[in-house]
Amino acid sequence: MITAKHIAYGVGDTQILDDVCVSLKPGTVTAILGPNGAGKSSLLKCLSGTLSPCRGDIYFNGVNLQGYPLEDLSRRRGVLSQSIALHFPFTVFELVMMGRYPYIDSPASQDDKQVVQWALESVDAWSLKDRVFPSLSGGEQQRVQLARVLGQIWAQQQACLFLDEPTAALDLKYQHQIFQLIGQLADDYALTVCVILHDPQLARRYCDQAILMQQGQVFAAGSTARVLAPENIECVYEVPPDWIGGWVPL
Amino acid sequence: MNTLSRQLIRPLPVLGLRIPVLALLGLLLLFALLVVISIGAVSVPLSALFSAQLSDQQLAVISAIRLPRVLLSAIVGAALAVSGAAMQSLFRNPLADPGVIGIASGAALAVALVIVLAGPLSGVFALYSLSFAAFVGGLMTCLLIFLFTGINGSFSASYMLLAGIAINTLSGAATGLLSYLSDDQQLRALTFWTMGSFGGALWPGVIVAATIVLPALFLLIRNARALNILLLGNEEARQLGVDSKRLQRRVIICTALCVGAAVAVSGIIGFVGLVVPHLIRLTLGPDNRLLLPASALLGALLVVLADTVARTLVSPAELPVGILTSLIGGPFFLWLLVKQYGGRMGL
Repeated sequence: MITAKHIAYGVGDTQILDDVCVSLKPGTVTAILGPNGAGKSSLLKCLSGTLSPCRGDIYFNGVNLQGYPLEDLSRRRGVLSQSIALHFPFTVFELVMMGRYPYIDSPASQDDKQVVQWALESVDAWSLKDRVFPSLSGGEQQRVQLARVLGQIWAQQQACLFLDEPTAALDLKYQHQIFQLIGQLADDYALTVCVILHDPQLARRYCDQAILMQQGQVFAAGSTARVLAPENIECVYEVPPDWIGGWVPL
Repeated sequence: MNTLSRQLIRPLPVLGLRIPVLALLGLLLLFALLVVISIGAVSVPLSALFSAQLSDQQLAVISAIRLPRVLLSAIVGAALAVSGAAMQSLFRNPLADPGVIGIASGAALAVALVIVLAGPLSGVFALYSLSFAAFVGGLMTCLLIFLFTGINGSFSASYMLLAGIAINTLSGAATGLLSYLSDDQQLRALTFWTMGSFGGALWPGVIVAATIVLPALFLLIRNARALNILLLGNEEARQLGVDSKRLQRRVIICTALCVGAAVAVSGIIGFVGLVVPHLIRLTLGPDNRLLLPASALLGALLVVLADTVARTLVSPAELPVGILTSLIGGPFFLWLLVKQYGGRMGL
């Protein structure tokens, strides 16, 4: 459960988030949508505690995020950033094992190895486990990073998962598989999931709630079907109606 | 994409071999130390060394000259190699090196100041004042870079790297100016110091270096796992529960201590901090839990061997060991550069 009350965030004179109030509930998948530069990533980073808002408070399971100990948070909250560059030749297995950092004393215990295997299998990447991470394709890297974040909060109750465009580099099959997996995890572990994505179709299909952002403010929030109604999309993205709603016949 | 990542699969699941690998390197180092002690102008056969049947002269040579020298070179080698490995993790860049962020050049500037401005110094006092100056210079540079990156608040690696380059240039220019002002004898002293040598190794130097370097190495190796996590990025490390700012601060201070102490007792010995971690990474992988201790042992081993070559090759004269390491390290660095970035630039 995450509640943000009147948060604002800015860098220098640029106001990025302005008086944003949102609430994310356990067991639900909430999508954040909006045009480029609308403040989606900043909102995600504030909610996940990666950035501190200039004003306003964020409550994580009822506790103010400001004073939440780093170690406790790291077992309760996984974050997948948009791009993570790694120039050192760690294997996929080692990389996902890094997600278990909050739990283990070296060397890795059997349990952690098991979790790494489960996490990799859940994103269909177990066969890559001995590959060197920087040699993977973009989509493979994205799935492996997702596995690392899933491993970090594996089987934790009341945990939160923040994903910044987790399917940006994935093919059609994996886009659907990953969202099905996320929905399953949200149901099974009462996970609070918050995900940035650009495809309204995917959001309508797999997300319970949606937040539509425009110029640093919440344009609409609530059930996906209502928030992502064609007139809202048309207004926020400034696109003609026939661009919305899927396939345009050639 | 660099060479390291072009290998698709690493040959060994190495971390399980941590203890045997380190034990092997440790034994190699021990063996090298014994052999190296027996080499020199006064011959000390290994058999005599092992059976402890040494003449008074041999004993004196070993205890007063060779042992401190060999130990000092081992400590300096370990300090430089581990500092290099830790810097590379800190900057998330396999080409970073303590020399790069200006610690060594800051130390050199301080030494130049003492040589040129303090007037003629002689004997043991000269040695100490130079060592102390180098140490203070290195530490000041580090604090300066730290201050700059602190103002910026982000502790971003590129910011630190650019600040280091600027400081490198500045202290290089200041050192150049001092060389220009100096007389012939000062110039000679300055030049020899920047070449690096263990020629003046004495027990106090060994003790001072050991008391600074060993705790710093210990602290760095203890933070090896957190350093692995730091490679993912500052934000990612924080998300995994690593206080990245505190870790970065700790690594900077420890490397400053190591490099400052090393430069203080031996002058500038280049490329050890770059080459040694690379050799380990190419063979054993990038995991800092293995990389840091293995770098310490291999760095010690290589510098001990290099110093032995430097003092025996043109015996009874001596080659400055810094020249030797740079002669070997320079081409190695170029080879690395071409191999790593060749594909990317279409060479």
